[in-house]
Amino acid sequence: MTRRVFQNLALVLTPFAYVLGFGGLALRYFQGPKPGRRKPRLDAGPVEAYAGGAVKGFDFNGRWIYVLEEGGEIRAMDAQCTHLSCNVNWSARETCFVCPCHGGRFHRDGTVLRKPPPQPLRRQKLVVARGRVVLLDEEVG
Amino acid sequence: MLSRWTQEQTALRDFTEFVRSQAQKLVPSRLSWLYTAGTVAAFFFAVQFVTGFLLLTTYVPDERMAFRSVANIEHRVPLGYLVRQMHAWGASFIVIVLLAHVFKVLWHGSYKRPREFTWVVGFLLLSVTLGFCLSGYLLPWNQLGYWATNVAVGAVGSVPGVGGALKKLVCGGPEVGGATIGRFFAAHVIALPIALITLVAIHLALIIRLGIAPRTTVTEEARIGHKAALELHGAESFFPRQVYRELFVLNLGFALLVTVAVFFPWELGEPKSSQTPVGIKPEWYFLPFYHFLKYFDDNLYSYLPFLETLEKRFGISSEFLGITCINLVAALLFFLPFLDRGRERRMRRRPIFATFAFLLLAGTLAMGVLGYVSGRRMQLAGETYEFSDKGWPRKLSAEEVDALTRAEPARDASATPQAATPAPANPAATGGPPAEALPATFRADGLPPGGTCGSSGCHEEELEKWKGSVHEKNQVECRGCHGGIDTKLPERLPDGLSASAEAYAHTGIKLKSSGEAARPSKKEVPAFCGKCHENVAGVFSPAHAETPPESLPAKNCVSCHSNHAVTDAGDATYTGKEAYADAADPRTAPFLSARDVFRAADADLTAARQKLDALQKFGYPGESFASELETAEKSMRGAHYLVHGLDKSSENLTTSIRDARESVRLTVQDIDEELTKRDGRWKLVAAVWAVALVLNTLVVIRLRSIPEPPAPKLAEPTNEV
Repeated sequence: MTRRVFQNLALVLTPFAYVLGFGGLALRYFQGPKPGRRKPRLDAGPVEAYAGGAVKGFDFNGRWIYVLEEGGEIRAMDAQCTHLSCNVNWSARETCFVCPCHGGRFHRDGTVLRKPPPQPLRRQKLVVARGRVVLLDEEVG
Repeated sequence: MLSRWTQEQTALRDFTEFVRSQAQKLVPSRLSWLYTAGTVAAFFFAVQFVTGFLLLTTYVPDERMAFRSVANIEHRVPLGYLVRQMHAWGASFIVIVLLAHVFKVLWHGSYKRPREFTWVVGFLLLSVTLGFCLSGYLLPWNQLGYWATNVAVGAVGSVPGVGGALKKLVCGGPEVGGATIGRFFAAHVIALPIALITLVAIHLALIIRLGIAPRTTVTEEARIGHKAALELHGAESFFPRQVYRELFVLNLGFALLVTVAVFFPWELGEPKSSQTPVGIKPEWYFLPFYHFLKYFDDNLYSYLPFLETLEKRFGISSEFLGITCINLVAALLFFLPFLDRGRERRMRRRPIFATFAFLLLAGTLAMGVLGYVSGRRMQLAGETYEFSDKGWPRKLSAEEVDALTRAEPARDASATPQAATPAPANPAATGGPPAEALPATFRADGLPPGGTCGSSGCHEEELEKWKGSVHEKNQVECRGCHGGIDTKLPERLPDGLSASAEAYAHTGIKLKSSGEAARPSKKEVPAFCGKCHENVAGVFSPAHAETPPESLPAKNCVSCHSNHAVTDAGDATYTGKEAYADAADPRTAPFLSARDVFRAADADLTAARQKLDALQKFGYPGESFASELETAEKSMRGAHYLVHGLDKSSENLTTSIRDARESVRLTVQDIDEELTKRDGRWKLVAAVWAVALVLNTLVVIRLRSIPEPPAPKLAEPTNEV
């Protein structure tokens, strides 16, 4: 370090100190507030409500979850399309899930009927207790 | 190659040359530390820009959301409290530094020719700064900001003729409301910053063009030129001494800003409501103006009757006169360089200006002090003084002080929102007040509790047991469980009723063959209590009535809860009683484990509340945490009835309690996090001071290495032309 640089060290270091300080402050600030408390489970109604092919949607911890009966089994699926994250809609006319963004189609069981979605819809865990469907805050697999 | 390309593209070399030439520009030697104020103000403006930008990402300029979003920044966003407090305190720091800058300019006569326009721009800069303060004050939409803004726009509305229209333009309606937030917000983040940047640029350009005022007279500077005038009384280059002095003050100022932001936070207070709080006052920098206006009321007419004529004839209100006075002084300052045309810069040679400045400063300070003490009670030199709204003191006698001290707690109590809330119809719904707080009777017919059952001399013993029970707290009397009629025998009985008082009272009650009222049998008790406690009856296990193989007897509700002296539900039921529970009995073992879960959950709740108390001592508004704990408690208490299902419902019970405990655990986790954050704040302040100390040590080393400036050609400033 030359004598001149050392002499003016404060002049060099001060802007660095402020940039680092405010940068750190901004990074911490931008982490944002803690997300709200997640519900561990959600009552999705009685099992009988899903008889006859009914499809119901629920807002569960900020995500839209479809619940339906398929092959004698109650299933819950995350509505988020596996392509580019739009939420799929249930089409009663086509009897499948339709992605409004890029036209992807999913079967009732969540498997892909028409591309571009690369993967089936994500399954959500649920339990059936005392005749009621209870969604759990956990994905299958 | 790269250097040439950079020069072609950016003219960087020209810029560095320009910076170097500015650094070498001459300034008077041995400058006062006040000369650092301009740069420090610019630095604090930069701090306001950075913190303001961060706040912008989280603040919501909407009357329903503004307060909540600021509370969110303050309490939930990481380091949000620091950003908001630095922004709030930064405003005061800027005003202080700018006032110091103005004082320096006035003292040294730097506003004089040829720097008149620099002064005018500086004055506008100060006005824009105050505009920032005023518009920013409303944005949290709290009581203080809202009512202070009301006062300010009220002043605008007092302008004769156009006042109403002006006020409407500022507020977006007849009063300060939701539309005002939008306008003030837009001004605060767009219009005023643009005005500020433009004015700062012009101010700086003028300083670069004209340089810092020398110590000579105006005429001498004009005669020999700026550089020669500076050299006449000693001059040195701007770099390094002045630059390092500015760095020193800047580092110190920033460390001070962080310290006050952390340890002396601006309270957010209450959200805006329609009730004006008592003793509301504006920010310290507006206090002198605010207080000055107080003297322009109807009392003024008794001293100056012609003012009343002015109001009657021309609609000029006393308030408008006050505002005009303030604006006249502001106009005098604005035009000061054009009014004060003397050639002298030294204060001692400017007696007229010095008198004017002294009077103005003293008057402003006096108004500020009077504004601060007005409406307060203070102890001065062992005596108690009460200051009127206009700030006039009145010494209180010992009797008056005593009376006020006695009245204070009562007034405080009545001022609390809790006291203002009407008492709940059912005191037990909120946990129930202590027994002695209950009224002598809660009955509409005026009879004592229990009615004729207890007062007729028939069931006094049972009534005594009932007193203090949970049924008494909930105003459930004898007839609530047993039926019958407990009011006085009417003069004329309804058809079909016996004239006997006893028979009348026992109407509808199951009777023995002897005609006496029958108490419910042991087997009937569950259904008897289940009339009200339906949820318990719904899960009540028949195992209660089964005698176990070894020794335990059959039980019913009364076995655990007593009959007349009914105990409260919960853990209290188990203590002091021989509860129907045995770990060795397979029927009750799950029940015992559920009881342990209850006790643990209760302990969790108590611990959580203690932590919340500790957090609230820091001024943290813990309503959301309190509400979370309350919900968890309700959920636990609500599940308590499941214990009556014994083994059959213990699984449901454990699940419910587990969820509630999990909720309490998460709340405690959040509280702990907040407490840790608060405990760690001093570390942040210590770190800032450590960095400032290191930087300023380097600054001091550098300052000491700078050789003394050359001696001035003239020892003293001259007046010679």
